[in-house]
Amino acid sequence: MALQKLGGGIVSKQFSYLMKRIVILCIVLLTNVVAWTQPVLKGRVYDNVGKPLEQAHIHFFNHNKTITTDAGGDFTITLPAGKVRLSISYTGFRKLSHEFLLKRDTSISFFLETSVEQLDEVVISAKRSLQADQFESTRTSTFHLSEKEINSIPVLGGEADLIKAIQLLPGVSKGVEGSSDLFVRGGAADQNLVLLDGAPVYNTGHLFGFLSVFNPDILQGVESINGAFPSYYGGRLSSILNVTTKSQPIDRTHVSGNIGLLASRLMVSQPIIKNKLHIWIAGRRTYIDQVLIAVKESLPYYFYDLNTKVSFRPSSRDYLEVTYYSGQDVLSYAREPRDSSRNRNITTDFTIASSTQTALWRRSLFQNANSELTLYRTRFNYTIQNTFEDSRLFVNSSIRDWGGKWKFQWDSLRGISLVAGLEVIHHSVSPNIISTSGEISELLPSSASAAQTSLESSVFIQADGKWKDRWSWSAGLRFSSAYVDNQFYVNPEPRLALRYQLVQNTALKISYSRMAQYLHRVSSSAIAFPTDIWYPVTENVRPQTSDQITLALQQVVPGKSMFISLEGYYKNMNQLIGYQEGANLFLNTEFEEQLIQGSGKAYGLEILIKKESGKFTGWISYTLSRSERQYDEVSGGEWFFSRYDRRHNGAVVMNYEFIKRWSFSAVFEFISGSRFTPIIGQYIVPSPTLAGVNLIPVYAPLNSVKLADTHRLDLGIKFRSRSERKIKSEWFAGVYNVYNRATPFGITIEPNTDGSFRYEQPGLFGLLPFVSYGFKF
Amino acid sequence: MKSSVIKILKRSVRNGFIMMCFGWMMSSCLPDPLPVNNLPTLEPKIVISSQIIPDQGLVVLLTRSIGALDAGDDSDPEELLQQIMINDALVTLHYQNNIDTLSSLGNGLYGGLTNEWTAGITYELRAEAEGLQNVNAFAQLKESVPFETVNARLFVNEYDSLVEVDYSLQDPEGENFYMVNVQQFSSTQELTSLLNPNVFTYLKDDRDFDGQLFQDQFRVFFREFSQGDTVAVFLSNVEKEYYQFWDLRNENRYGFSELASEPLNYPTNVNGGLGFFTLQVSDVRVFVLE
Repeated sequence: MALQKLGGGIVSKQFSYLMKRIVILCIVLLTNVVAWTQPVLKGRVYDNVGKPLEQAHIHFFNHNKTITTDAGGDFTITLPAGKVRLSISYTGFRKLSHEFLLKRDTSISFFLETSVEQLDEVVISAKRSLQADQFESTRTSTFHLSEKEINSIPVLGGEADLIKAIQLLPGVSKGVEGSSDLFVRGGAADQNLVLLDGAPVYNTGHLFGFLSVFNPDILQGVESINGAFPSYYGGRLSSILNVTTKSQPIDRTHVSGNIGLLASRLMVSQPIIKNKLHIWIAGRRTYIDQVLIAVKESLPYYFYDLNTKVSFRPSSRDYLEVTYYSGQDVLSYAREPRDSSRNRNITTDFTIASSTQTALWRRSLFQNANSELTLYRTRFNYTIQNTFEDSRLFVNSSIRDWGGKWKFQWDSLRGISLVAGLEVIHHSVSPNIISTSGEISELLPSSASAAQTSLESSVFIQADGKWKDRWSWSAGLRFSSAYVDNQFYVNPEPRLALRYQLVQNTALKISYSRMAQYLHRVSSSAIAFPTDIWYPVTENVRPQTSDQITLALQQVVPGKSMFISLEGYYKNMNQLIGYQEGANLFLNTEFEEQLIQGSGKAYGLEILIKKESGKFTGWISYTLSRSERQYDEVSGGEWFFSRYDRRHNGAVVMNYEFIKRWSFSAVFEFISGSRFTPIIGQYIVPSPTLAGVNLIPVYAPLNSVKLADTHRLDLGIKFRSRSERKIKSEWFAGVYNVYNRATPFGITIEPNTDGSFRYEQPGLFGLLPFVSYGFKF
Repeated sequence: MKSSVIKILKRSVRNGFIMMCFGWMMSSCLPDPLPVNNLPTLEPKIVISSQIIPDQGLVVLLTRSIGALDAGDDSDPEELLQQIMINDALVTLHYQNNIDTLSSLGNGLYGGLTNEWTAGITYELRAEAEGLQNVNAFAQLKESVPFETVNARLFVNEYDSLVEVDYSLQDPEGENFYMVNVQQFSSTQELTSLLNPNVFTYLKDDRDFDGQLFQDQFRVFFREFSQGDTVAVFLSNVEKEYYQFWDLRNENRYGFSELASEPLNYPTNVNGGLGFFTLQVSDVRVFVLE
């Protein structure tokens, strides 16, 4: 429990501190404007039918430099004037070599021809394997999922769900069945930084957490980083979930939509100025409430979300992007009094709202260098307004961030690439305001937690390079700080990674990362509620830190587009947030008194075998892990298992195109039960008035009981219309939890018919069929 | 006529189909619960409860703890007491080099001491029972603080019929913790339930009025009172640990907060056992609501 307060302790000159950062930001902006005056080579790579190819590799022989095309098949590079010799390669296509003289800014299109001899044997993947690209780098513990992979997985309610797909990857443990919580490598649910186009998202779940807020239509992909963190990421201990929405240029209007059991969605992509200005708009809403209105019934709940993106390429060197996300869950219920003699009206209004706005400016600078500036605003708030008879309850909690991140990237000609930059986030947190009147005010008086503002900032630098033939390295440093309540916390966060090529297509990697977290979610250790509160570090609540070492053995099997990874990790966590025994956080404005800080450790072994192209795609993941906690104030200071310590966690995810236009998908999951603290005994205490006795429960030691292991099979079948049709459609039907097995969330005591009692482990979701219809044109 | 019948039939079929689908989906959401095996069991322990009853002296109730499945909120309290009471224990009180043995009064109760109780003295209670671990506990007799004034009256508004209690007390110097309890005896029956009785507990410490005359008012909520009901209002000056025990009970008394709160094993001052050895003396006033 050493105090993490380095570099100066309490700083009273907040003004000068802010000014320094503003000056640095101005310098950064000026640097961004300066461009090198060397010729720029722009190009686009197409296949033989004119479709742009994403992630094609372009190697420049004279400069020993390799770059890849973006989602629109485009690439841009600044080179010294003179002879340029390049080759372009892409899986399933013949390598193209080309040589020319570069004198001024030039734009060239390249067309690749299919590799005929391969066509008989393999199905050409639409995209390069991002996972295989990772093999070439020093990165470990990083997983990529594409829109296609996310959409092919049968899930609860049939609504494609990014978070549910992430939960099937190694190292990620789920919380209560169906929830959007992620517990990564023994961490807590609030230790994951979820970014949507660069902006943090604080609430990742609709439907009280059972469906993720990310509209699958507009997703481009997701990168999940569980270890070996690059220095340009920080702020959370356990993982970075980098979600990006579509941005590839389009040449005509595209409309796609989906009608499912839970919600329906629609997306429109529209080029405004060809290859310059594009717009994407996607919306999603539950509709069962509207259906029930039609039959004069009511369901007092709905959610919606709206994503918008505008991209603009004003010049060959500049790319601008503005994204907007907004989502709400609304529960609004009113019951008229039935007894006219007494006004027993009940109304409940519960609204959860999230929104993010991001502006991105990417600019190609001098030789192989570019700058990326992201500015964002994000907000999460909820309000509860209840009335019952004369009782009124109003609860509000919110967090709003203004942030900016500038990243400078330079791939030098000497084989070393450099990334440097800074990030500043201003948090405004209003943790809990409770206003009551009437009878309920006797039980719950009006109160408010003090509003908090904090300034979180960091500077980072990272260099990547090669040494001899077999070694690659990456070294970075992130210097993070938080300023709140005249308290200044600083944490140096070193990041190191090494890669050694054992044999062709097999590499051994080792990495070390230190992470610091200055913002926490105050939540029950058992379950996250939409009413959980985000709370920054204070004078008494210190930053959480972690140190993680990862050792990985990775292999790619190029002919089969397979990626195999075996990783071991050890993670040590300090100043972990915990709660006093019996802490009651619900509608509690004095929650800081209930917080305690302690230590955690987690270690494990992870296996991933992933196949990304061909008729048969999917992955097998397995994690063997252990996660423990220690707080001086709990369990006599002894170490105990964390709530979601799950010893074994395995999944088989597969998608098989068995006939043209028909594909079959399946998910099988096996998870060891999580930890639980059941009631194991009881005793009586007479009431103070001696008018009876109270039964007092006795709990088992904290998290000492393992719930039953669980396994589940989900099946889905997809039928697509002919590809030549103008309006393409697909039906996706399936069953969640085919054999109706409960995934227990706890142990309850239930009465038997003869008056005796029994223990039970109930689950939430049983066999649940789903069907959805999608279309696009 | 025919078309309207068809319309009604169509609508009924459509509505029925939608509701059937919805109902099927919802019901299919509930898989059979899994059985529970190999839970740790609680080793039975001696549970101590005590109170000084004016004119009768100290009464100690000795019971044993039971398993989680041995009783529930609907259990018969008398049967439960028969099941857990300890009648063959040796219970002794140790104070200022004196040892007094408490006699068994039956039904797990021990008492029969007629000593002079002195505020500020620490008393030790020891209990030995066959097959159970010996236990002991310490308690200090807190200075008895009676009501200076107290009144309980019916408070009726558009929605509720509650009891409003006004009281005042003279707080002695030093740290004191007060527990005010309101027990309802309805005009039709004596007690609503012997198991988990609906006793209202109001807690107040003297941080803000140390050594002063203190006046206060509170309402007994989430209960319905009527004219003719009898309420007893108790005031006790209790030890800090016992006060905290009831404070925790108050915080966890509603189901919604139990779901969101962390597991809690309630504190005890009994070494090797459970419960509380306390020596408070209550001032009790009875009111008939008008």
